[in-house]
Amino acid sequence: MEKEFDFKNIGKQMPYRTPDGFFDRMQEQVSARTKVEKHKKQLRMRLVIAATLAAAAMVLGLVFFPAGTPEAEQVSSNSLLVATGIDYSYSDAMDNFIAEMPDDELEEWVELSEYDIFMN
Amino acid sequence: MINEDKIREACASDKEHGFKLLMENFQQPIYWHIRRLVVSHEDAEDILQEVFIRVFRHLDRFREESSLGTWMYRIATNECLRFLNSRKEQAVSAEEVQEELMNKLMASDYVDYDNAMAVKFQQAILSLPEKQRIVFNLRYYDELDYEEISRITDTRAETLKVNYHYAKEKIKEYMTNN
Repeated sequence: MEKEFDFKNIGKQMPYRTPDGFFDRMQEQVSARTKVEKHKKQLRMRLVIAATLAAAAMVLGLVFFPAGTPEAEQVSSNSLLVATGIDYSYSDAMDNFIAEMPDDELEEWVELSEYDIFMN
Repeated sequence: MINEDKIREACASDKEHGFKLLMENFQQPIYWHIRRLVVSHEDAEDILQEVFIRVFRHLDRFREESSLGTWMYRIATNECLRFLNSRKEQAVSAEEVQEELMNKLMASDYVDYDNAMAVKFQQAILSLPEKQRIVFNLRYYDELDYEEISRITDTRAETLKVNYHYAKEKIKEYMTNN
């Protein structure tokens, strides 16, 4: 009769191995990726703020300096936003553009932005 | 070994430092858990990296009612299942996925084939249905209690006990008859 298998004979032995220095390298790789994640978040914030400020500046510019166009003078005060014809979806479009950007492209953009004097 | 409170405190005061501590404490047990489920070192490496990136993203939103360890095992288990299910979505049956895992075990640069008994033991584990395999590994290797495994797998502790019992019986049979 076959002898029954005893779990004590094997314990927690496993035949699996890892390459040398694997766990140290893993920490470095993950740490590098988390830094990119952080930059992405910061870049998104900066772009959203920049886009919002740009849109606000355009609105203010058109409100206070209507450039003397006859249409601007005819506009009633309660319909200014419509009359200026500004596309307010600009900041939304920018958000969507960033959200849809592939990760590798965004990473490249983050790297470039680090050397961009206008963004830093 | 793992002082979860210390890691939580570190995460609250300095996310990067806390995350580094968390990785130092958990990367090995989580890697081995993943490796036992997906077998190939290369797949386990990719999944482990994904797990830690997910953990980093959601660290601020981690709910304290569960332990950090349980939370991480849950994320890792889900990632493994997602990986294995992605094969099934490619019109590959569960049996074929099991066969693929067996083949990976028998043709890897990172398996010690000199330890024939340990290889056979892994074959026995791989012959189990997926759920029994997860329960067996978490209980036998990671020594988690049934309540913890219940939180990881969303399964009642009583069901898990039965699963573990069946898994052990099947492994015994495999080891005796093969």
